[in-house]
Amino acid sequence: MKNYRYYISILVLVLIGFVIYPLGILPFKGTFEKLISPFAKAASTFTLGTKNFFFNISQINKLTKINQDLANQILQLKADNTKCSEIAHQNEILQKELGFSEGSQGINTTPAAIISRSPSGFVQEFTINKGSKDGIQSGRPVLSDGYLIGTISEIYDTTSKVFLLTNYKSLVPVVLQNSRGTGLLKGGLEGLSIKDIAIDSQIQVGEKILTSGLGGDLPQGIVIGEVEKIISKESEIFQIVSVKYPINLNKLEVIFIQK
Amino acid sequence: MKYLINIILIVLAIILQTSVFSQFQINNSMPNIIMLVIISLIFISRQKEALLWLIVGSLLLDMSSPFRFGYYFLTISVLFFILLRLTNTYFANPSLIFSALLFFLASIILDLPIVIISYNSSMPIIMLLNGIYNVIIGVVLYYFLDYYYRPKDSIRLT
Repeated sequence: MKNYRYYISILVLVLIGFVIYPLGILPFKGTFEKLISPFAKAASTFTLGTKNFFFNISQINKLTKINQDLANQILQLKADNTKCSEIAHQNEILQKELGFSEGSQGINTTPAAIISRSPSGFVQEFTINKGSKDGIQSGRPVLSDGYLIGTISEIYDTTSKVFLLTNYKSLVPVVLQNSRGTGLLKGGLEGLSIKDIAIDSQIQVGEKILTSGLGGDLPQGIVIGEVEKIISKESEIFQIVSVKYPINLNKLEVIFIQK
Repeated sequence: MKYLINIILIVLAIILQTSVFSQFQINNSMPNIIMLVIISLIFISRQKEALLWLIVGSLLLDMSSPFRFGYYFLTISVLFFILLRLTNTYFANPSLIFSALLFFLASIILDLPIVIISYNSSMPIIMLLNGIYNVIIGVVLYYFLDYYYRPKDSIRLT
Protein backbone atom coordinates (compact mmCIF):
# COMPACT_ATOMS: atom_id res chain seq x y z
CA MET A 1 0.00 0.00 0.00
CA LYS A 2 2.93 2.30 0.85
CA ASN A 3 4.29 1.73 -2.67
CA TYR A 4 0.98 2.80 -4.17
CA ARG A 5 1.11 6.03 -2.12
CA TYR A 6 4.42 6.81 -3.89
CA TYR A 7 2.82 5.89 -7.18
CA ILE A 8 -0.15 8.22 -6.66
CA SER A 9 2.14 11.15 -5.70
CA ILE A 10 4.20 10.60 -8.85
CA LEU A 11 1.05 10.16 -10.94
CA VAL A 12 -0.16 13.59 -9.81
CA LEU A 13 3.21 15.15 -10.75
CA VAL A 14 3.18 13.39 -14.13
CA LEU A 15 -0.36 14.63 -14.82
CA ILE A 16 0.76 18.20 -14.03
CA GLY A 17 3.76 17.69 -16.36
CA PHE A 18 1.44 16.28 -19.05
CA VAL A 19 -0.80 19.35 -18.88
CA ILE A 20 1.96 21.99 -18.82
CA TYR A 21 4.19 20.21 -21.39
CA PRO A 22 3.07 22.41 -24.35
CA LEU A 23 4.29 25.51 -22.45
CA GLY A 24 7.86 24.17 -22.87
CA ILE A 25 8.85 24.83 -19.27
CA LEU A 26 9.72 21.29 -18.20
CA PRO A 27 13.41 21.56 -17.32
CA PHE A 28 14.23 17.85 -17.25
CA LYS A 29 13.26 16.83 -20.81
CA GLY A 30 16.63 16.04 -22.35
CA THR A 31 18.55 16.05 -19.04
CA PHE A 32 18.39 12.29 -18.62
CA GLU A 33 19.54 11.76 -22.22
CA LYS A 34 22.51 14.02 -21.50
CA LEU A 35 23.40 11.90 -18.46
CA ILE A 36 23.26 8.56 -20.27
CA SER A 37 24.72 9.87 -23.53
CA PRO A 38 28.28 8.45 -23.06
CA PHE A 39 26.89 4.97 -22.30
CA ALA A 40 24.28 5.17 -25.06
CA LYS A 41 26.95 6.25 -27.56
CA ALA A 42 29.26 3.38 -26.52
CA ALA A 43 26.41 0.84 -26.74
CA SER A 44 25.34 2.21 -30.11
CA THR A 45 28.88 2.10 -31.53
CA PHE A 46 29.44 -1.43 -30.24
CA THR A 47 26.13 -2.69 -31.67
CA LEU A 48 26.72 -1.03 -35.01
CA GLY A 49 30.26 -2.44 -35.20
CA THR A 50 29.10 -5.97 -34.36
CA LYS A 51 26.15 -5.74 -36.76
CA ASN A 52 28.38 -4.46 -39.57
CA PHE A 53 30.99 -7.18 -38.91
CA PHE A 54 28.49 -10.02 -39.38
CA PHE A 55 26.75 -8.21 -42.22
CA ASN A 56 30.05 -7.74 -44.09
CA ILE A 57 30.96 -11.42 -43.69
CA SER A 58 27.65 -12.40 -45.26
CA GLN A 59 28.19 -9.96 -48.10
CA ILE A 60 31.77 -10.82 -49.18
CA ASN A 61 30.84 -11.95 -52.71
CA LYS A 62 28.63 -8.95 -53.25
CA LEU A 63 31.26 -6.60 -51.81
CA THR A 64 33.89 -7.88 -54.24
CA LYS A 65 31.61 -7.03 -57.15
CA ILE A 66 30.71 -3.65 -55.63
CA ASN A 67 34.43 -2.95 -55.12
CA GLN A 68 35.10 -3.62 -58.79
CA ASP A 69 32.18 -1.39 -59.83
CA LEU A 70 33.40 1.37 -57.52
CA ALA A 71 36.91 1.16 -58.96
CA ASN A 72 35.41 1.67 -62.43
CA GLN A 73 33.29 4.53 -61.12
CA ILE A 74 36.38 6.20 -59.60
CA LEU A 75 38.06 6.18 -62.98
CA GLN A 76 34.96 7.70 -64.56
CA LEU A 77 34.64 10.28 -61.76
CA LYS A 78 38.30 11.26 -62.08
CA ALA A 79 37.67 12.03 -65.71
CA ASP A 80 34.50 13.98 -64.82
CA ASN A 81 36.36 15.81 -62.06
CA THR A 82 38.97 17.03 -64.51
CA LYS A 83 36.20 18.37 -66.75
CA CYS A 84 34.49 20.01 -63.74
CA SER A 85 37.73 21.70 -62.64
CA GLU A 86 38.07 23.14 -66.10
CA ILE A 87 34.45 24.35 -66.07
CA ALA A 88 34.91 25.84 -62.57
CA HIS A 89 37.95 27.70 -63.81
CA GLN A 90 36.02 29.05 -66.80
CA ASN A 91 33.11 29.95 -64.50
CA GLU A 92 35.44 31.90 -62.22
CA ILE A 93 36.79 33.87 -65.13
CA LEU A 94 33.30 34.58 -66.48
CA GLN A 95 32.01 35.68 -63.06
CA LYS A 96 34.90 38.12 -62.76
CA GLU A 97 34.14 39.40 -66.24
CA LEU A 98 30.48 39.90 -65.25
CA GLY A 99 31.43 41.68 -62.00
CA PHE A 100 30.17 39.14 -59.47
CA SER A 101 31.46 39.66 -55.93
CA GLU A 102 33.80 36.93 -54.81
CA GLY A 103 31.91 35.43 -51.84
CA SER A 104 32.76 32.24 -50.13
CA GLN A 105 30.91 29.34 -51.75
CA GLY A 106 32.06 26.77 -49.17
CA ILE A 107 29.56 25.25 -46.81
CA ASN A 108 30.32 25.82 -43.14
CA THR A 109 29.40 22.70 -41.19
CA THR A 110 29.84 21.42 -37.65
CA PRO A 111 30.29 17.68 -37.02
CA ALA A 112 28.23 16.00 -34.31
CA ALA A 113 27.85 12.46 -33.01
CA ILE A 114 24.53 10.68 -32.68
CA ILE A 115 24.11 9.76 -29.02
CA SER A 116 20.67 8.23 -29.01
CA ARG A 117 17.62 7.58 -31.15
CA SER A 118 13.90 7.82 -30.61
CA PRO A 119 12.64 5.00 -28.37
CA SER A 120 9.62 4.66 -30.67
CA GLY A 121 9.69 3.73 -34.35
CA PHE A 122 6.76 6.05 -35.09
CA VAL A 123 8.87 9.20 -34.80
CA GLN A 124 12.19 9.17 -36.64
CA GLU A 125 14.50 11.33 -34.55
CA PHE A 126 18.14 11.44 -33.38
CA THR A 127 19.72 13.13 -30.39
CA ILE A 128 23.16 14.60 -31.13
CA ASN A 129 25.94 15.77 -28.82
CA LYS A 130 25.88 19.45 -29.87
CA GLY A 131 23.55 22.07 -28.45
CA SER A 132 23.04 25.78 -27.95
CA LYS A 133 26.48 26.06 -26.28
CA ASP A 134 28.03 24.96 -29.60
CA GLY A 135 26.09 27.56 -31.55
CA ILE A 136 23.50 25.15 -32.96
CA GLN A 137 20.30 26.85 -34.08
CA SER A 138 16.84 25.50 -34.61
CA GLY A 139 15.83 24.67 -38.21
CA ARG A 140 19.40 24.28 -39.52
CA PRO A 141 19.91 21.51 -42.11
CA VAL A 142 21.68 18.33 -41.06
CA LEU A 143 23.78 16.47 -43.63
CA SER A 144 25.51 13.15 -44.08
CA ASP A 145 27.86 12.54 -47.02
CA GLY A 146 26.56 15.81 -48.44
CA TYR A 147 22.96 14.59 -48.47
CA LEU A 148 20.24 16.25 -46.40
CA ILE A 149 19.01 13.94 -43.64
CA GLY A 150 16.88 16.32 -41.56
CA THR A 151 16.74 19.53 -39.59
CA ILE A 152 17.43 20.59 -36.01
CA SER A 153 14.12 20.56 -34.15
CA GLU A 154 14.81 21.00 -30.43
CA ILE A 155 17.89 22.44 -28.77
CA TYR A 156 19.19 21.95 -25.23
CA ASP A 157 22.47 23.17 -23.71
CA THR A 158 24.68 20.36 -24.93
CA THR A 159 22.35 18.21 -27.02
CA SER A 160 19.86 18.72 -29.85
CA LYS A 161 17.19 16.71 -31.59
CA VAL A 162 17.33 16.07 -35.34
CA PHE A 163 13.96 15.73 -37.08
CA LEU A 164 14.62 13.32 -39.96
CA LEU A 165 13.34 13.61 -43.54
CA THR A 166 11.83 10.14 -43.18
CA ASN A 167 9.48 11.41 -40.48
CA TYR A 168 5.84 11.20 -41.52
CA LYS A 169 5.36 14.89 -40.64
CA SER A 170 8.34 16.09 -42.72
CA LEU A 171 7.66 18.32 -45.76
CA VAL A 172 10.54 19.92 -47.68
CA PRO A 173 10.24 22.08 -50.85
CA VAL A 174 12.47 20.57 -53.54
CA VAL A 175 13.43 21.04 -57.17
CA LEU A 176 14.39 18.39 -59.72
CA GLN A 177 17.79 19.29 -61.13
CA ASN A 178 17.25 18.72 -64.88
CA SER A 179 13.52 19.13 -65.44
CA ARG A 180 13.36 22.03 -62.90
CA GLY A 181 10.03 20.69 -61.65
CA THR A 182 9.27 21.79 -58.11
CA GLY A 183 7.37 19.85 -55.49
CA LEU A 184 7.15 18.88 -51.86
CA LEU A 185 9.29 16.07 -50.50
CA LYS A 186 7.17 14.10 -48.10
CA GLY A 187 8.56 11.83 -45.44
CA GLY A 188 6.78 8.71 -44.43
CA LEU A 189 7.20 5.28 -43.06
CA GLU A 190 6.86 3.84 -46.58
CA GLY A 191 9.76 5.95 -47.91
CA LEU A 192 10.35 9.38 -49.41
CA SER A 193 8.19 10.75 -52.22
CA ILE A 194 7.72 14.08 -53.98
CA LYS A 195 4.21 15.29 -54.63
CA ASP A 196 2.66 18.35 -56.36
CA ILE A 197 5.07 18.37 -59.34
CA ALA A 198 3.54 20.21 -62.31
CA ILE A 199 2.15 17.90 -64.98
CA ASP A 200 4.22 19.53 -67.75
CA SER A 201 7.57 18.80 -66.05
CA GLN A 202 9.59 16.31 -68.09
CA ILE A 203 10.84 14.19 -65.20
CA GLN A 204 13.75 11.85 -65.86
CA VAL A 205 14.36 8.78 -63.74
CA GLY A 206 17.72 9.19 -61.99
CA GLU A 207 17.81 12.99 -61.99
CA LYS A 208 19.04 14.62 -58.80
CA ILE A 209 16.68 16.16 -56.24
CA LEU A 210 17.78 19.34 -54.46
CA THR A 211 16.25 21.63 -51.86
CA SER A 212 14.57 24.55 -53.64
CA GLY A 213 14.95 27.09 -50.83
CA LEU A 214 11.28 28.06 -51.16
CA GLY A 215 9.85 29.23 -47.85
CA GLY A 216 13.29 30.21 -46.61
CA ASP A 217 13.53 27.43 -44.02
CA LEU A 218 16.33 25.59 -45.81
CA PRO A 219 19.05 26.90 -48.13
CA GLN A 220 18.71 25.92 -51.76
CA GLY A 221 20.84 23.36 -53.55
CA ILE A 222 21.32 20.69 -50.88
CA VAL A 223 21.24 17.22 -52.47
CA ILE A 224 18.56 14.85 -51.20
CA GLY A 225 18.59 11.89 -53.58
CA GLU A 226 17.45 10.99 -57.05
CA VAL A 227 14.20 10.16 -58.80
CA GLU A 228 13.49 6.44 -58.55
CA LYS A 229 10.24 6.24 -60.50
CA ILE A 230 7.09 8.18 -61.33
CA ILE A 231 4.29 6.73 -59.25
CA SER A 232 1.38 9.01 -60.21
CA LYS A 233 -1.17 7.95 -62.84
CA GLU A 234 -1.65 9.78 -66.13
CA SER A 235 -5.10 10.96 -65.04
CA GLU A 236 -3.74 12.85 -62.01
CA ILE A 237 -3.31 16.62 -62.19
CA PHE A 238 0.06 16.58 -60.42
CA GLN A 239 2.94 14.15 -60.74
CA ILE A 240 4.26 12.14 -57.80
CA VAL A 241 7.67 10.45 -57.80
CA SER A 242 9.34 8.08 -55.38
CA VAL A 243 12.83 9.00 -54.21
CA LYS A 244 15.94 6.85 -54.14
CA TYR A 245 17.62 7.90 -50.91
CA PRO A 246 21.22 6.68 -50.58
CA ILE A 247 21.69 7.22 -46.84
CA ASN A 248 21.01 4.37 -44.41
CA LEU A 249 19.86 6.31 -41.35
CA ASN A 250 20.17 3.30 -39.05
CA LYS A 251 23.91 3.08 -39.70
CA LEU A 252 24.81 6.72 -39.12
CA GLU A 253 27.15 7.66 -36.30
CA VAL A 254 28.34 11.14 -37.25
CA ILE A 255 26.41 13.88 -39.01
CA PHE A 256 27.14 17.49 -40.05
CA ILE A 257 25.08 20.54 -39.17
CA GLN A 258 25.17 23.34 -41.71
CA LYS A 259 25.57 26.73 -40.04
CA MET B 1 20.01 -2.82 -2.31
CA LYS B 2 17.39 -4.76 -4.31
CA TYR B 3 15.84 -1.46 -5.42
CA LEU B 4 19.23 -0.05 -6.41
CA ILE B 5 19.96 -3.09 -8.61
CA ASN B 6 16.55 -2.73 -10.23
CA ILE B 7 17.13 0.99 -10.90
CA ILE B 8 20.51 0.20 -12.52
CA LEU B 9 18.77 -2.44 -14.65
CA ILE B 10 16.10 0.10 -15.64
CA VAL B 11 18.75 2.61 -16.77
CA LEU B 12 20.47 -0.17 -18.74
CA ALA B 13 17.13 -1.05 -20.33
CA ILE B 14 16.61 2.57 -21.39
CA ILE B 15 20.11 2.66 -22.91
CA LEU B 16 19.27 -0.56 -24.78
CA GLN B 17 15.97 0.94 -25.95
CA THR B 18 17.46 4.19 -27.26
CA SER B 19 20.70 2.90 -28.74
CA VAL B 20 20.55 -0.83 -29.51
CA PHE B 21 16.94 -1.69 -30.34
CA SER B 22 16.65 1.38 -32.56
CA GLN B 23 19.30 -0.21 -34.81
CA PHE B 24 17.31 -3.40 -35.16
CA GLN B 25 14.15 -1.75 -36.41
CA ILE B 26 12.15 -3.77 -38.90
CA ASN B 27 10.04 -1.41 -41.03
CA ASN B 28 10.22 1.18 -38.24
CA SER B 29 8.93 -1.24 -35.65
CA MET B 30 10.80 -2.00 -32.45
CA PRO B 31 10.00 -3.59 -29.08
CA ASN B 32 9.44 -1.60 -25.90
CA ILE B 33 11.65 -3.33 -23.34
CA ILE B 34 10.29 -1.42 -20.31
CA MET B 35 6.71 -2.43 -21.07
CA LEU B 36 7.76 -6.05 -21.68
CA VAL B 37 9.63 -6.32 -18.36
CA ILE B 38 6.69 -4.81 -16.44
CA ILE B 39 4.21 -7.25 -18.01
CA SER B 40 6.53 -10.23 -17.44
CA LEU B 41 6.96 -9.26 -13.77
CA ILE B 42 3.17 -9.06 -13.36
CA PHE B 43 2.79 -12.50 -14.96
CA ILE B 44 5.16 -14.04 -12.40
CA SER B 45 3.45 -12.18 -9.51
CA ARG B 46 6.32 -9.77 -8.81
CA GLN B 47 4.07 -6.74 -8.36
CA LYS B 48 6.52 -4.71 -6.25
CA GLU B 49 9.28 -4.91 -8.85
CA ALA B 50 6.74 -4.27 -11.62
CA LEU B 51 5.56 -1.12 -9.85
CA LEU B 52 9.17 0.10 -9.48
CA TRP B 53 9.80 -0.52 -13.19
CA LEU B 54 6.55 1.30 -13.98
CA ILE B 55 7.43 4.37 -11.91
CA VAL B 56 11.13 4.72 -12.74
CA GLY B 57 11.20 3.09 -16.19
CA SER B 58 8.18 4.93 -17.63
CA LEU B 59 9.39 8.27 -16.27
CA LEU B 60 12.85 7.81 -17.81
CA LEU B 61 11.24 6.68 -21.07
CA ASP B 62 9.13 9.84 -21.05
CA MET B 63 12.23 11.97 -20.49
CA SER B 64 13.93 10.51 -23.56
CA SER B 65 10.92 10.17 -25.84
CA PRO B 66 9.73 12.59 -28.55
CA PHE B 67 6.13 12.32 -27.33
CA ARG B 68 4.32 14.51 -24.85
CA PHE B 69 5.69 14.11 -21.32
CA GLY B 70 3.68 11.52 -19.40
CA TYR B 71 2.60 9.51 -22.46
CA TYR B 72 4.46 6.34 -21.51
CA PHE B 73 3.76 6.70 -17.78
CA LEU B 74 0.03 6.98 -18.33
CA THR B 75 -0.36 4.30 -21.03
CA ILE B 76 1.84 1.77 -19.22
CA SER B 77 -0.03 2.56 -15.97
CA VAL B 78 -3.30 1.62 -17.68
CA LEU B 79 -1.73 -1.64 -18.89
CA PHE B 80 -0.27 -2.31 -15.44
CA PHE B 81 -3.60 -2.07 -13.62
CA ILE B 82 -5.54 -4.03 -16.26
CA LEU B 83 -3.02 -6.87 -16.18
CA LEU B 84 -2.73 -6.76 -12.38
CA ARG B 85 -6.49 -7.15 -12.12
CA LEU B 86 -6.48 -10.00 -14.65
CA THR B 87 -3.63 -11.89 -12.95
CA ASN B 88 -5.12 -11.47 -9.47
CA THR B 89 -8.60 -12.54 -10.55
CA TYR B 90 -8.28 -14.99 -13.41
CA PHE B 91 -4.77 -16.30 -13.95
CA ALA B 92 -1.14 -16.22 -12.94
CA ASN B 93 1.76 -17.60 -14.98
CA PRO B 94 -0.13 -17.65 -18.31
CA SER B 95 0.65 -20.27 -20.94
CA LEU B 96 2.83 -19.54 -23.98
CA ILE B 97 -0.10 -18.79 -26.31
CA PHE B 98 -1.99 -16.73 -23.75
CA SER B 99 1.09 -14.71 -22.75
CA ALA B 100 1.86 -14.05 -26.45
CA LEU B 101 -1.70 -12.82 -26.95
CA LEU B 102 -1.44 -10.52 -23.92
CA PHE B 103 1.93 -9.10 -25.07
CA PHE B 104 0.38 -8.42 -28.48
CA LEU B 105 -2.69 -6.69 -27.01
CA ALA B 106 -0.53 -4.67 -24.61
CA SER B 107 1.61 -3.48 -27.52
CA ILE B 108 -1.50 -2.42 -29.44
CA ILE B 109 -2.85 -0.52 -26.42
CA LEU B 110 0.52 1.23 -25.99
CA ASP B 111 0.63 2.37 -29.64
CA LEU B 112 -3.06 3.08 -30.18
CA PRO B 113 -3.12 6.67 -28.80
CA ILE B 114 -0.22 7.69 -31.14
CA VAL B 115 -1.93 6.11 -34.14
CA ILE B 116 -5.25 7.82 -33.32
CA ILE B 117 -3.74 11.26 -32.58
CA SER B 118 -1.37 11.45 -35.55
CA TYR B 119 -2.92 9.09 -38.10
CA ASN B 120 -0.83 8.12 -41.10
CA SER B 121 -1.70 5.35 -43.58
CA SER B 122 1.27 3.16 -42.65
CA MET B 123 0.93 3.53 -38.89
CA PRO B 124 -1.51 0.63 -38.39
CA ILE B 125 0.99 -1.66 -40.15
CA ILE B 126 3.76 -0.50 -37.84
CA MET B 127 1.46 -0.98 -34.88
CA LEU B 128 0.92 -4.62 -35.92
CA LEU B 129 4.63 -5.17 -36.58
CA ASN B 130 5.42 -3.65 -33.17
CA GLY B 131 2.95 -6.13 -31.70
CA ILE B 132 4.68 -9.11 -33.36
CA TYR B 133 8.14 -7.84 -32.37
CA ASN B 134 6.97 -7.34 -28.77
CA VAL B 135 5.49 -10.84 -28.68
CA ILE B 136 8.77 -12.45 -29.76
CA ILE B 137 10.96 -10.52 -27.31
CA GLY B 138 8.28 -10.54 -24.58
CA VAL B 139 7.78 -14.32 -24.53
CA VAL B 140 11.55 -14.93 -24.29
CA LEU B 141 11.83 -12.35 -21.51
CA TYR B 142 8.85 -13.77 -19.62
CA TYR B 143 10.23 -17.32 -19.65
CA PHE B 144 13.68 -16.06 -18.67
CA LEU B 145 12.33 -14.06 -15.70
CA ASP B 146 10.04 -16.94 -14.71
CA TYR B 147 13.05 -19.27 -14.62
CA TYR B 148 15.23 -16.68 -12.84
CA TYR B 149 12.72 -15.92 -10.06
CA ARG B 150 11.41 -19.48 -9.63
CA PRO B 151 12.14 -20.68 -6.06
CA LYS B 152 14.99 -23.16 -6.17
CA ASP B 153 14.83 -26.33 -4.08
CA SER B 154 17.00 -25.98 -1.03
CA ILE B 155 16.98 -29.68 -0.17
CA ARG B 156 18.39 -32.09 -2.69
CA LEU B 157 17.49 -35.76 -2.47
CA THR B 158 20.29 -38.07 -3.39
